[in-house]
Amino acid sequence: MPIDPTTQMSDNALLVAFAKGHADAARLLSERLLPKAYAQAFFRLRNQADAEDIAQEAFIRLWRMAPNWAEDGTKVSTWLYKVVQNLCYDRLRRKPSTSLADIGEPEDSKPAAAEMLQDQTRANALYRALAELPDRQRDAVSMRHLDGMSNPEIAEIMELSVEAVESLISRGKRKLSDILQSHKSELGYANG
Amino acid sequence: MADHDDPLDAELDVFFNAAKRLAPRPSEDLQARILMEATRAQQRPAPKPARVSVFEMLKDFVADLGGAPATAGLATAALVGAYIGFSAPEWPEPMSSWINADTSLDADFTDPFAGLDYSFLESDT
Repeated sequence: MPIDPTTQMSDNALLVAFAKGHADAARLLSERLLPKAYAQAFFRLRNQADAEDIAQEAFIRLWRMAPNWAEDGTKVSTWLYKVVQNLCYDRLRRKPSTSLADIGEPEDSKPAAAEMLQDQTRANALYRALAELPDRQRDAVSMRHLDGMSNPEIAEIMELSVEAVESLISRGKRKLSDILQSHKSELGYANG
Repeated sequence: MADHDDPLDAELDVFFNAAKRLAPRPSEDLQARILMEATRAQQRPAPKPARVSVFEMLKDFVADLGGAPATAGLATAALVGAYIGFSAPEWPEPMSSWINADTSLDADFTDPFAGLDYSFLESDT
């Protein structure tokens, strides 16, 4: 029996359903989790092709692991984002040089050209500033403010206490602010 | 996402929001590939039970025997048996004398016919 697309089933319940042969569970799970997993990979690697590879590989691992999924309290989303994070580490180790964001051409739905140009300048400044942070501060700040994860989720992915994550984020943001302040005038910083 | 109680958040959100606005969305092609992989994973045969290694078999055997202490006792007894078998130990004196004792019977035998002249048994022919 097909699963109602508007189902309130948890991600974990959907994964169990997938393991039992429900094909539509895979579609629902990917619709829920792919945008964030892909964005996470893109923010780390700043390259669309690499981000697609990483997102696809993470989902392949999820599908293969599904029959052995153990209900130990881990959320499927957290498990998947952790896999993405680790795959990004591996990719960056093999290919450490990263270009600025692979942002592409404006589309109709994108902001007007001038706004987009300003966004590009700010985004690139952010990526450069993030690159200057220590690894763990950069990861914690990115997961919190780019990927939109909660602190407990970040703590689980980074295998740290929530307090340690809060501390990393706080220090990371202060340092980011210092770096960006030095480029204030060229970024139109005061204009928001 | 970020609450703006902290002025630092408001200041940095200008940059984070710019990056998020420009981030590409996953393509439909990627979505299709991921669903194809899902179908492929569902069609894979169920994983075979892992082959039992020699070590696992040995561990089960030891458990069946009663665990490590019982197995140690058994192994010790086997080693002692093998040692005795190969070393041909010297037996203590009383035992060896018992083993090597001459078992033939010595009895005094007196000929009841000693001195008897057997000539009468001889014929004249």
